Amino acid sequence: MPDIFVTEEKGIDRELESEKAGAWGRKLHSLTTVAFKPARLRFEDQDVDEQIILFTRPHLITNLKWFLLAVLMALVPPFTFIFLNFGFIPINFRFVGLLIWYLLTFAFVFERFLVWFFNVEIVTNKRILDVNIPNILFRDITQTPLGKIQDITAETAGFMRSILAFGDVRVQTAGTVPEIKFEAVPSPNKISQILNDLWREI
Amino acid sequence: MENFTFVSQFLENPNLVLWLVVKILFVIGLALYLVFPILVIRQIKAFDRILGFYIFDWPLRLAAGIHLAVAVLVFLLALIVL
Repeated sequence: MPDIFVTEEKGIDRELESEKAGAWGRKLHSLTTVAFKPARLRFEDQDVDEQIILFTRPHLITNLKWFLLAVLMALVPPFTFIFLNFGFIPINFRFVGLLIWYLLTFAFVFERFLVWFFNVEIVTNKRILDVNIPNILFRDITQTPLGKIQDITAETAGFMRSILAFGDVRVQTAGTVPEIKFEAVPSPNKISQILNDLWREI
Repeated sequence: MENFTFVSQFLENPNLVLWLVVKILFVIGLALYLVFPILVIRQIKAFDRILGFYIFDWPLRLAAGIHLAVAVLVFLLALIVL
């Protein structure tokens, strides 16, 4: 008789998982911010029996600030050439100066994009992998086993975050790194729920 | 003696010497800048290896390659045109 109850619980789990997967999708592309059980992704020291459950990145809107700054930088040369007189600078220096300005603008955009792109969290059925890169020349990869999780908190604060439904998920751990932060991720409540489910299964 | 020539040239035509100094600064700056796109390519390769992102980040690798090519071109242009 108890077997009947076990079957029913598994059925509910399957339904819940398909619901999560359906909402986010499994396919990864360059701008994916969240994926449930992403297909084809495998990281370097992933175990054979280890499955990636969740892939997250900060919400796309977090790029707005540097994007606007880059637009402003791109508009600086035409406006300065209109309003200021650069007649005293030889034409070849003006030309190379302009190229350097746009090269630096591109470098700024590219660096900011890469920082967003590689700032990911990967949750597997065994651990959490947190990749932080404050700038392109520095990388910090933290791993913590799911068994060391002590507390999970989802936090959505602020006008923009409330409207676009993104926020932080803080995971307190008993490991050497006291906290792992999923920064500005979409649907923080859902992510914390998935983490809670995994944590309970351990 | 060389210093004397440089000073006398500066006194004769200060503008020419000034732009020569600017050119040297441009070329040194661009030569130093060349390290940056190379580092970016190395970082992308490292992340591809660690996180397995090579399955979807080909546009980034392409952009990084173009960035390096453009940086080299601007450096050569500064050497030739200035």
